[in-house]
Amino acid sequence: MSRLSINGMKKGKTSNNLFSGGPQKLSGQKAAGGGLRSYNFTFGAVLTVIMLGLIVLGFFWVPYDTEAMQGSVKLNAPSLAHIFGTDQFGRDVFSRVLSGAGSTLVIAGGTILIGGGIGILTGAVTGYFGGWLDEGLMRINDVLAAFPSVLLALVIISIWGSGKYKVMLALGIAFIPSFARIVRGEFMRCREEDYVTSARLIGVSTPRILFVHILPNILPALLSSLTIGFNNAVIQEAGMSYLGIGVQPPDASLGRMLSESQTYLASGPWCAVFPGLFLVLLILGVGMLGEGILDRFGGGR
Amino acid sequence: MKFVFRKLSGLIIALLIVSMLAFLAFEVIPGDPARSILGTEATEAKVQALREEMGLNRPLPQRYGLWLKDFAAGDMGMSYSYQVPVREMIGDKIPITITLTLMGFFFILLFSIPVSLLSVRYENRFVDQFFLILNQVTMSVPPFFVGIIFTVLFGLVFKLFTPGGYVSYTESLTGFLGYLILPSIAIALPKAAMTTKLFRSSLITEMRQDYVRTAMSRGNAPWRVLVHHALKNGILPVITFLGMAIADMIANSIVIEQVFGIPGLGRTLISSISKRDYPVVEAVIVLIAVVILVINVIVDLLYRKLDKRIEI
Repeated sequence: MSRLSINGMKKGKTSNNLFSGGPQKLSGQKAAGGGLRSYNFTFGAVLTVIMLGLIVLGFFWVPYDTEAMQGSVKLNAPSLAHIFGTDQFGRDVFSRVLSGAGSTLVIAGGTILIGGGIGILTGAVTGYFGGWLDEGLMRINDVLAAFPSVLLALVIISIWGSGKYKVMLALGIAFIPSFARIVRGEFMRCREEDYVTSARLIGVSTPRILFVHILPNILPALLSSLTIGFNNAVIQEAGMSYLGIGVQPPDASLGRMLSESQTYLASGPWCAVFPGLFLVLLILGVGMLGEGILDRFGGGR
Repeated sequence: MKFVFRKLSGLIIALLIVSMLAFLAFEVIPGDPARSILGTEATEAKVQALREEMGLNRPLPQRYGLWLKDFAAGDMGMSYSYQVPVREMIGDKIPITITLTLMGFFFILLFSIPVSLLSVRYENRFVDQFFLILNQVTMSVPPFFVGIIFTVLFGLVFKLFTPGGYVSYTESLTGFLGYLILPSIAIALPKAAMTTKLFRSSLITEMRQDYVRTAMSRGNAPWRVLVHHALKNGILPVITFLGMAIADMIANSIVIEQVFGIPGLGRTLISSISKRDYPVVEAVIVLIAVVILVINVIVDLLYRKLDKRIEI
């Protein structure tokens, strides 16, 4: 969990879900699993594939030009021609949802690449070697990880300005502390294990031990925290774009669609419902997939 | 006592780190504050004079020291855009955001405790399964979308409140609290779902312990065992989570204030970010940071107090 002090680790809690949005795992949860638990992975994977499939489709093809305004079909309810309806300018909501979700995917994907990549590197090195560098870095890291990452991202955005790639970079940097913290914990746990000691004794190089021997062993915990990070990035990007400090026109964005639709809630609720629903389904799918990964592959913990 | 002391010294170090990072981020990186205040038309001589007056030509550590001293004394500088002290700008907004967050916290408890107890009492039966699904879905809804749904449902369909009809607490306290109910539920719902999930699994772990079996075998009713025995231990992991939930709710209130048109800290923060009004952004962020760090320490102390198993 992201906001525990160092002592938090000693409180008998595992640390696989360091993000605020994450479900919590307790040591006894495995035994406590209900009947639904086993469906998490399948359902999550199917839903994720469908949503990502739709988004990827949107990169290549959308039914209407996302900016094409048609005066004749302003605020039309969903129909066969416009399955999500049309907005106040007569633009096709479905096309706009797909291209907005495209921005979301690029930002969320980029965020976990940046945050996960740098976080894994620092976490692996500090967790494996320990020492004063680890102490110093983690002291700062603990303070940073104590904050909701959106606040860190807002600080960065207030300095750099907004826009698709700046949001991605800001969120990516804001996520580093949490990822570093999870990975560090996992590497600390693994560094004393027999297989690591043996590898060290027969002269395997350190980078190889870190990334070929240890990394695959922490993969379930890592993947599940990446899914949680992905979801947080999706929610935060949408929130920032909703506030007008995220993705800027001409880039499409679900968050901005939601804020624009607020004026027309009475006459065209579908302009708000469908972008929101798309977000919810994407987050639901990825979230269940992440839990499913832990349920299914994280059993060795 | 030693633990309290260690926690407090940790807090001071954390506060110093935060203030240093905030200072570096806002005072060093973005442009020239003197130029921001005077605008691009001002002559170089005027800018230099103001720089001297603001102390911008002094060495960095000295500037940090001065800034920290002023900030601790409540002097957070002047807003670039409005030319008023930041303190005046945000002073009356702090109670609004605090009330919103506290009400959100109340709703988390109100929703998650009964649902968790019900789910554990009837584990794997219909009620439990129903809430498991409901939880999973609730967790996936961004708070501001909950806010929009509420606006449609309660504002436009049922007409229970006027969207955007915020009532100031100076006007009517009940009107103010009444208007904040829906926004606070909106920030509480996703967190309540996560709390329920954690609480449920924590309680189930407790219900499998020997002491629960002993209590059951002595003829105590299941509800009684759950509430009087398991609850006390099962709530421990939840406390740490609740501390984090408060931090997240403060962050989420930034967006929710915009959805419901509440003039709190969040709205000030966002408009200041758009205007690049750095002194305001810095003050709000540092204030929120201080609150979050203090809450963390309180949670740690509370945990220590409640969990007798951790020796001192």
